[in-house]
Amino acid sequence: MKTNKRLILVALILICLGIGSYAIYKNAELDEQKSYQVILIPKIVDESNDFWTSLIEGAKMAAEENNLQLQVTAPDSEDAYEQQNELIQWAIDQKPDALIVAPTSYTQNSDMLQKVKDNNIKLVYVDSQTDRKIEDAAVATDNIETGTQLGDYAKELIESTPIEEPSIGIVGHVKGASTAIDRETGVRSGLGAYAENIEEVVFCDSAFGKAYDLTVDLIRKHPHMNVIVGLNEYSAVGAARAIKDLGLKNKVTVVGFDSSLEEIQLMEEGVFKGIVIQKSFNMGYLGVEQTAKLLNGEQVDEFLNSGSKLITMNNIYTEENQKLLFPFVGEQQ
Amino acid sequence: MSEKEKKQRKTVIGRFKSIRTAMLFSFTLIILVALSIFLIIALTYTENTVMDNAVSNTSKIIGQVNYDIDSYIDYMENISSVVVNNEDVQTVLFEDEASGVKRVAAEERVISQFRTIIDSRDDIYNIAAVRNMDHYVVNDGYTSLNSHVDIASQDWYQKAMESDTGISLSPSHVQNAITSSYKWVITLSRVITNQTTNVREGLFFIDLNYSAISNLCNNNKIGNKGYLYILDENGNLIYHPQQQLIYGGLKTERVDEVLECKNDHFIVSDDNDSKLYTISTSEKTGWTVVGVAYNSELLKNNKQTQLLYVLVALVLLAAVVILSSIISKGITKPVEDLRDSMEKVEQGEFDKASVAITTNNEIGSLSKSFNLMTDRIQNLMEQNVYEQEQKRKSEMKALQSQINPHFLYNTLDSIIWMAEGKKNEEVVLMTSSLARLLRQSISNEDELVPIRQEIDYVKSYLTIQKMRYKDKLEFQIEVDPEVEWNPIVKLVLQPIVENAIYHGLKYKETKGMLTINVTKDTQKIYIRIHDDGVGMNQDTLDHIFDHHKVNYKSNGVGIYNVQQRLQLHYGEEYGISYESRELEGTTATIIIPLNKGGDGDENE
Repeated sequence: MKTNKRLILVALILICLGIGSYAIYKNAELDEQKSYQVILIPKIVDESNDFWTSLIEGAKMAAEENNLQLQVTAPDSEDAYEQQNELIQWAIDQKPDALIVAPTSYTQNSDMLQKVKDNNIKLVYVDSQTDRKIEDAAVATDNIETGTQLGDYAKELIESTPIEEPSIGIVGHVKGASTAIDRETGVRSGLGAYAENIEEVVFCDSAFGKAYDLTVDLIRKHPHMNVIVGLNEYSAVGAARAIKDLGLKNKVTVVGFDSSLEEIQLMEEGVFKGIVIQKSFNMGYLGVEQTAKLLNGEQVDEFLNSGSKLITMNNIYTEENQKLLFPFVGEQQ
Repeated sequence: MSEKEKKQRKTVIGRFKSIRTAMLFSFTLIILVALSIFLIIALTYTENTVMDNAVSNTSKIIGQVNYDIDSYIDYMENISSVVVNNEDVQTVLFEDEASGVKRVAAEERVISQFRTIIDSRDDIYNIAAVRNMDHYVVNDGYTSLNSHVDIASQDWYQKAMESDTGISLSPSHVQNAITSSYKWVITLSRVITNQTTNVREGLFFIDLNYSAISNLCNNNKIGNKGYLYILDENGNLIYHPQQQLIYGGLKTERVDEVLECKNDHFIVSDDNDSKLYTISTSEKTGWTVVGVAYNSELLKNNKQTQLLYVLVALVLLAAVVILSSIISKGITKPVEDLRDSMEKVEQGEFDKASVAITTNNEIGSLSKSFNLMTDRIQNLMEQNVYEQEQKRKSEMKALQSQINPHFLYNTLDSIIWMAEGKKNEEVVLMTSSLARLLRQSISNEDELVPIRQEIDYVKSYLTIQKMRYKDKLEFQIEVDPEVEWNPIVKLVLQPIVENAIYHGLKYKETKGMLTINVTKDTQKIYIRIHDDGVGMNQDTLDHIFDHHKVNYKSNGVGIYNVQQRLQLHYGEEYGISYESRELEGTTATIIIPLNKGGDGDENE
C-alpha cells in the first residue's frame, strides 16, 4: 500500500517531467526545418535575356522564402536539347529532391525526363512542356491563349490601320519547342481569317542574329510583307532590329512576345506596335513554390497559368503595366 | 442553506475510505484550483504585458525609421537647394545668350558637382537639371534624356511645378526619362526658378534608388520574420521587401487597413498567425512607415515563460502531493493506531490495546483518555472476575456448610434413643457415620472431590437414614470403577438423595429402594439416582428447579442450588435432569464431563 502510493507519486513526477521536456523538444523542433535540394534547368542563362533572368530571379526568391536549396544550371543556347539532356543526367546524379526544367524540345528531352521520374525525383516544368505528361506540376504561360491574344491584336491593327492586302510573316524561335508550336497555333486562331495571309514561318533557333537575317530574307522574298510576328524575345527583337534598320518601321507592323529593355525602347521608337509579355518572374516564383508544396506533400494543380499581358504604346507606363514590364530591383545598383 | 452544504460536503469527504485519502484528495484539489487560477492570471498578465511592450517597442522602432527617412529626404532637399541656387545651373539652363565658352565652363562645373554628389552616395541613380530637351544636364554629362518621353508630362514634373514649395516627392515609379535606363526610383523634384524672369522654368530632380531606404528598413526589422514597408499618402507602395512579388500579384499587402487605421497599431489574424501592424506617418513626406511583427515571434519568450510557469506549477503540484501525503500520514497515523487499538479492545485483548502517545494535540489527549479508559475497564473487569470468583466461592461454601440442622438433631435424637435402648452397635455405626459425614462436609477445602469420596459421603448419609427409617429404606450403589477417581463438584449427590427420600420414599407404604448408578460413555459420566417411591406429579416436576424450593425443614440445599453449582462449574450442557412417574418412582440423572487422563492429577 505504502510502496504503491510512493510509486504513483514517482510516476506522477516522471510524467510531469516528460510533458515538460517534450514541450521543450517540440519548441526546438519548430525552429528547425528540413531544407530540400532543388535544381532548376532553364533553357538558357543569358544576362541579355530579361525573360530568363527574371524567371531565375523569381525562382531564387521563392526558394529563399520556402527554405529550399536552389541550384541553377542551363545549356548555352535555347535549342541545345542534347546539352540539356546531359545537364538533366548530371542533375539526377546529384540526387536532388526535385528538378525544375524548362524543356528545350517538345520531343527530344522526354526520355531523359522519364529517368528523372524513375529516380523518384519530383519533376516540375516551367515555361515549356513535352509530349509526355510525366511532370508532377507545370507552371507556364498558356501559350495558345497568349498567341491568340497577340494574333487578335494583329488582326485589330490590320483592320484599324487599315492594312490593305495583309501579308504576314512569322519568326519562330525553336522548331519543335512546345512554346513555339502553341504560340503559332494561338496566333493563327487570333488572326482568324487573316491566318491565310501568313506567307511563311521561319525559325531563328533563339538567336538575335539569325532572326535578324531571316527577317531581312523574308522582306526580300516577300516585298509586300507588312506584318511580322516574333514568337519570343530573340525572334521578336531580331525582327524588329531588321525592320528598324531597313527603315520600314512605318510600313511593316511588328508585334512580338516577351519584354526586354530593347523591346521597350523599340516600342517607344514605334517599331513594335504591341508585345505580349509573359510574367516570367511569376513563372519562376510559382514554379519553385509549387515544387515546395509538392515536397511538403501538399496538393498542387497540374498546370498553373502564370499569366500574360498585352502591352501597347498607349499603356506602357500605366502603373499596373510598369510593374509587369520592369522588374523591381530595389537594392541593385 | 449552509448546513445543507455542510452536509453535502460531509458526504463527499465521507465517501473516501480513509481520512488520509480524503485529506490528500482535498489538499491536491485545492492546490490544483489555486494553481490554475494563478496560472491563468499569470499567463494572461504576461501575455498582455509582452504584447504592450511589443507594441511600444515596435512603435519606437517605426518612429525612429520615420525620423531617419525624414532626415534622409531633408538631406536630399538640401542637396537640391544647393543645386537649384547655383549660378552655373542658371547659366546652363536659362542663359541662351551666354557665350559658348561660358556655358561650357558652367556646364562643366555643374557636371563636376553632380559627379561629386553621385560618387559620394550610392543611393542616387540620376541627378539632373532640366529645362527642356535642349537645355539639361544629367549625371556625368554623357547620359541623355529619352527623346521619346515628354518630361513635362511626367507626374513628378507637374507636381513639383504645381506645388507651393516647389518640391515634390514621387511614389515608386519607373524612370523612363533617361535613355536606356528603366529603373524603379523615387524621384525628388524641385523647380528651378529662372532668376531673371522669376518664372518656374526648369526642374532639378534626383532619382533615389532603394538602397538607403531598404537599409533603413532592413536594419530595423522586428524579429526574424517581421518587416517594414512604406506607403505614400495615396496608399502606393514606396518600399516593400517583397515589392516585386506584390507588383507581380503574387503577394498582397494590407494597405487599406493601414490608411483607415486611426490608432498607431492594429492586429490582424491570418490563417495560422496573427500579425501586429504598427504605423507611423511622417508629416514631412506624407509617407507611412508600417512595421509588421509576427505575434508568434513577439510572444516566443512569452511561450517559454508560460512553459516555465506550467512546469513550475506541475513541480509544485507534485511537491504538494508528496508533502500532503507525508503530513496527512503524520496526522492520521495516531488515529489509525487508535482505531487498531479499538479493534483489539473489541476483541477483548486489553493488554495489547495501549496506544503509544506521539502527539500533544487532540488526538494525543484522545489516546491518553483511551488508554486510561481501557486500563480502567481492564481493572474493572479483573475486579469483577475476582469478585465473581469470591462470590461463587463463598456461595459454594455457604451451600456446602448448610447441613440440615433438623437432620443433625434427628440423627442425634436417634442416637440418644438407640443409646437408651442400649443398642451399642447401632449407636457406634450411626455415630461414626455422622462423624464421617460431618468431617467430610467441613474438612475438604477443595471444590472438587473424587466421585468415590462423594459416594462415600452419600453412603454415610444413607446409612444414617436407613437406620432412622429402619425397614422403610434400602439402598444400593453401583459405581463404574473407572470413574471412581473422576472429580465432581462437592456435595451434589447428598441433596438429591435427600430429596428422593423426603419426597419419594418417605410416603411409600412399603419398603423403598434407592439405587445409585454411576456409568460413563466416551464423553460424560452419568449418575442416576433412582427411587421407587411415590414419584412426582408434573407440576412438582416442573417446579423442581425453582429457587424457592429451598426448604430448610427438609432440605437445606435444594435442587436449584445443586443445579446452579453444576452448571456454573461445567456449563449449561451439564447438570441434573429429572424423570418421574407418579406411584412408580423418580430418576434423577446428573451428567458431568468425563475427565480423561487428568484423573491422576486431580487426585494428588
